[in-house]
Amino acid sequence: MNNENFQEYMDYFKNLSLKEKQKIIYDQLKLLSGFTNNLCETAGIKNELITNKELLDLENSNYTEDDFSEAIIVFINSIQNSICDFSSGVADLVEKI
Amino acid sequence: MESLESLKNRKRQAEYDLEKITIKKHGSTPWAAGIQDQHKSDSYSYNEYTDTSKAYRLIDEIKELDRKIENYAKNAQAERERQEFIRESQIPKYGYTAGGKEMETKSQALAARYDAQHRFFAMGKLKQTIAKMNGQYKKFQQLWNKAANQLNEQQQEQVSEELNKLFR
Repeated sequence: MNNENFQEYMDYFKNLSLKEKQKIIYDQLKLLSGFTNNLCETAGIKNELITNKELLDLENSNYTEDDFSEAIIVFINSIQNSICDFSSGVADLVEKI
Repeated sequence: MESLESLKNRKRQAEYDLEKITIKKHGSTPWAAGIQDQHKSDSYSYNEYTDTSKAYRLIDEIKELDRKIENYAKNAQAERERQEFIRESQIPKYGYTAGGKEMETKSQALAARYDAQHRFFAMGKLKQTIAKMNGQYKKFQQLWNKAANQLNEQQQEQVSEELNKLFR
């Protein structure tokens, strides 16, 4: 992937409705959250998947902007936590080599 | 607040005005007829005044000025503190939370920094991880170099094998 490819994607993304954009953001962050948690598990690194009941609010189609922000911050912190644990685990491994 | 110099000047003026209307009597008792000074009725020297009401007014004024001069330092300190309080209250202050406590500062930048630390979750863990990774930077470099050299060695072995096959 490079910036040029990404710009093509952005051109597509910008033409979507707000709800469609939010759906993509939600789905992609959900995917990333699972991916980073799985990355740790595969490498044998302990990581707790961060979840919160605020994620359930987006199951309802009438969610508000606040609901959206609250769900996204849960995912961001989940991904951040997994990346931190993965990086720490790799650093510990490198030290042992 | 009136200055110390001004207080002393007023006292001097009052004392001078009092002196002008005072008739000093020595060696006689106040029992004689006339206006008598009740303050020193049993002394051998006492004052009589040409204008008694003015005299008592001036005496009270002198006493008041004496009191003010005596308390001048204390009152000046209280006034300075009051002015300082007014000045401080006019300086804008910014609130922020640090360690679960509400704090105040005059520095907007400091408040913004603390707000940032409070706004983002788990910043401590992120910083710790970055520090850990930075600490392993040299080791990572060594591993990459080692892996790169090993690959070169493998390529060299392959090349020499091929050459051996050719020239056997």
